[in-house]
Amino acid sequence: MFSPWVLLAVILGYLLLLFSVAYAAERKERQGKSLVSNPYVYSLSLAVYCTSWTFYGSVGKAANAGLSFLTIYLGPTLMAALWWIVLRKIVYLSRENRITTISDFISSRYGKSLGLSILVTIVAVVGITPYLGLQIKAVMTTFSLLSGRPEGSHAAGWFISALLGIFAVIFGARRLDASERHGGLVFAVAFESAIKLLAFLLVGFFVTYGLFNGFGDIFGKIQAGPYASLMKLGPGSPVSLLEWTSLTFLSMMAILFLPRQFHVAVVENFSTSHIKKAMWLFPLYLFLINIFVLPIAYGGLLKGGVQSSADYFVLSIPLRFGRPFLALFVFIGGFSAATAMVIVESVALSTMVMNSFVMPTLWDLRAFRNFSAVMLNIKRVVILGCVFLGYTFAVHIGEFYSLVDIGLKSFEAVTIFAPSILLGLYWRGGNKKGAIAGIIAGFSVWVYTLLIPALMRAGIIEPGGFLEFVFQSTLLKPTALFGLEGLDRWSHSLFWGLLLNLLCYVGVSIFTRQSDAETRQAIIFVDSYSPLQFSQTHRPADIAEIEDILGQYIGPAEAREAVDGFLKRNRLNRQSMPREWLLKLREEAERILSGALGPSISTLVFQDRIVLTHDESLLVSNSIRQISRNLRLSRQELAEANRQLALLKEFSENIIESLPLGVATLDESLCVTSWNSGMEKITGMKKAAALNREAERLLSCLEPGLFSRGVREGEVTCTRNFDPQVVLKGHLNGLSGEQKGYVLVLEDITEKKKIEEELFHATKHASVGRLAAGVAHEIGNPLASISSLVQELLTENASSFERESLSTIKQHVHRIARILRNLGDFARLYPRQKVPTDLKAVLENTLSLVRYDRNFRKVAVHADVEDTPPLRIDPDQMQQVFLNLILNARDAMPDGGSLNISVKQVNGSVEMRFADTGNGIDSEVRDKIFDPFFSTKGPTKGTGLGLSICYGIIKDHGGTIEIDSEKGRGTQFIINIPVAA
Amino acid sequence: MKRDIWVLLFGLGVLLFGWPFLTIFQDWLTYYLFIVWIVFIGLLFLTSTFSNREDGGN
Repeated sequence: MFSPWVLLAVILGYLLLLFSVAYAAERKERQGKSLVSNPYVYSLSLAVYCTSWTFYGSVGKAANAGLSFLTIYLGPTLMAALWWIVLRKIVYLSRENRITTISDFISSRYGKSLGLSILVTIVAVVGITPYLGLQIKAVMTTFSLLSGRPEGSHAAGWFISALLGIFAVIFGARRLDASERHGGLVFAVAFESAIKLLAFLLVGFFVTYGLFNGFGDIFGKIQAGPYASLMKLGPGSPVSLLEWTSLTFLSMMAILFLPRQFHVAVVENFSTSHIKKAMWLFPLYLFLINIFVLPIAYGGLLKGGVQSSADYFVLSIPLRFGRPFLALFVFIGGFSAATAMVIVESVALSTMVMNSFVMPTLWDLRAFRNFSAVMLNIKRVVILGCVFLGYTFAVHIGEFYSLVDIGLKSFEAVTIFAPSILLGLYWRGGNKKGAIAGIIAGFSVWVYTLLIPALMRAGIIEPGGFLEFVFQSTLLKPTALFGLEGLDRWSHSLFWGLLLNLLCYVGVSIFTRQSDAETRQAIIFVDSYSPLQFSQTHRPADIAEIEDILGQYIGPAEAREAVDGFLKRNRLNRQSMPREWLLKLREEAERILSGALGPSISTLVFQDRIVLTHDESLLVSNSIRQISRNLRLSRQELAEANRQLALLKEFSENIIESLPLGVATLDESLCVTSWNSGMEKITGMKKAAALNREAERLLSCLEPGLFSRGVREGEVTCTRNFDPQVVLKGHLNGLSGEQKGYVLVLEDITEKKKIEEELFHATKHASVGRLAAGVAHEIGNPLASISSLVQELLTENASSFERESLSTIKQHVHRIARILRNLGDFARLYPRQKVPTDLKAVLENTLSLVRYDRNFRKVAVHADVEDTPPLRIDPDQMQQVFLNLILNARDAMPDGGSLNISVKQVNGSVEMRFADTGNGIDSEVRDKIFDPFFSTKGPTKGTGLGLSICYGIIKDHGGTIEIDSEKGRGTQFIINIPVAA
Repeated sequence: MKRDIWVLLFGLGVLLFGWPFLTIFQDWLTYYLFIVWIVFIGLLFLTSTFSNREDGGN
């Protein structure tokens, strides 16, 4: 036995040693020579998992329930196999998001919900307090055992709790930034892990080989004694296979989700590479610290120890068998296990409380002076509060339960977080409402099935009344909820808690919507930080793969060209490409891609990784934002361009539609692609009916056919073969630019053609008129002299021959004079007076001149003359026109016929028709009929000036004269003279 | 591949530390558990060492 003061001195000395170790580690760290940043310290720090429960409780559990204590260590061993997948992902996510507690982790996954963070903190504090109490209880009990004075254990416990609190404050709350690692603290924890392992191994070795002859001796004796069942599982043993499985599962969850484990494994992790070594080092530590548990437990029983006090066999056996200093060292080992847990757990819980409660509450006061200092002091108080909460539990409740019982309650409590975290890491559908519902359901089951019965057993809750009625009911019995009997309490609580937790989490998540923030966080947690993909720097195996990747973004041909260019420049060939050149080719491909996708994305494309660092996230985010902005601008510009294009198109279509031309466009196969209204007028074919039809068929009304001799670009004149006939000029040209096809333009040139003809005639008449005037003038004067002389000679006595010759000369002179007079008329040498004249009277005078002509006896003249308004004309000239036409009709009907004359008013003019039934005129000569000196009567019968004179007179009066004649069917002259003329 | 091998190891551990092997080895359960445990740790060591080499030390 040791004096309490000695023990306190030892404790103080040990704590001073811890301070020194932690201080040295921090100093080394400040010097840049970290003692902490290595996988061995990391693995040892993870051994904070092995608390006084392991140190003392495992032996107690082994002595009472045999092998089941192993589940608490086999679970973490199994889970370690998945650390490279699960823990590494959690570490990455926490580091990138500056997550420092498990409550922050869960709240961050579900849209950074403060409510969820508060809920998790409450569950953690309530769930872990018994565990803290367990440590204090162990220290107090062992202090009493070693000092032999149970009465002072509470005071010693209070004093030790204060010391632990102070240690935690010094190394866990020196700064406010919780994201900063606590190197000193971690190193101290690792040191304590080494001490407790050494202490346990020493006592184990002492029992196994000091008191017995090794493992075989102990196991043999146990198997032969009343405790043989302790070496079995299942039927006939204290532990069922179901309980074994449940406890294994609980410990698997605990190693990940206990706040202190999260703290040392995630927050204090220096490098993810440490995880890989810890995956076997930590299980090895667990193996070593448990290897003597069974010998100590069984040895204690074999040496007369009782199962109820087996928790402290580790200490009581050395004491009993005269090894006080070994016992003291064991006490130090146990104290190490407890202090490490209390310090780390209180730091972790205090951070959760600060982040979830204190900071949000006092955040509005951040502008005040010394806000940081105030917050730091509050955190220190919270740490002390956590430690003393544990102390309170140990003093008032802990004595009613074994260490294992208390620890397992905490394991059950943190398992509540499992669905929200594990499913949240791999299922995007999980949302905040689901997580809250699941955690509340799990926590409710935990309180009802484990905590309330514990409080009742401790006397804090008095059974009786309604509560007793409920607890005794078939459906709501805490140890047989809904009538489920036959399960141990851990399996029972785990089953209902996990079932309801999962149902609520999945069900509520499915039937409720995620907010945008939740969706964003879900993507980050599930997709963006997939650890397996993070480190897989995918190196394309060959050129073809690089070319293929490049081709996906810039096109296969361009990719091929780029790769070929690289090979050519470096004088390489595809078949034998050295690895270093393959890497250079990849870099080249990245450079090419970075032009199109940006450097971040191009790197990601070739590394085939989805995980982004913070900087990469920002870069990608900025790039995407820039791209989005550009796209938005481009969309606006595109919309404006579209609007302008639509206006331009409308404008162009209006122009084409309003053109006095027929315009159509044809594709390469001569099908109509557009058809304007001018085309509709010319062809009589509506646009809707014309589109997409063959142009050749649509334009078959034109003669000659536009496409009868294939597609011939250029100009062509044709006529429409249905009334009214029009003359058309067509232009067929190929479209320019990228468009293939033709544009056809048809112009109605009927009027133009007519005007051209009239102009031609007028010009010809004018020329001939000027010639005729000159001839008449030059010949008329000498002819007048000749005529006078002939007349004078005739009055002289002359021979009959002379008289006959003079008469002949006189006849010819008269003939010449008549011709000259006609020429004069044609040339209109004599000015005429236009006066309002009754056309009917002029026609009747003309007819009266020929009516008694013997040459008209065979010709029946019919005149149909309507009353017409007086025309302003020269009546003599008009009579000359009528007379010419009538005489021509007579000459055209030598064997008789009929001449029909009609006069009537048509619109604004008077129309006169002279239609005979004579020989008619050939179409070949019809166009020449009004030409001067053109005659079909022969040289002796006419001068060929009659119709020319008529044409000239009518034109002089602003009218028109046309001929309609067909050989053998007569001729009709149509004269139109405007009334206003 | 690496992910698969870790999952495979985990599955193997669950199998070896659960029914029916615990029933099969009931008579030598203590030895069975500790031997399988240390073998499992050895497998973890070998796998992590092998994958470390593949990663170039990571």
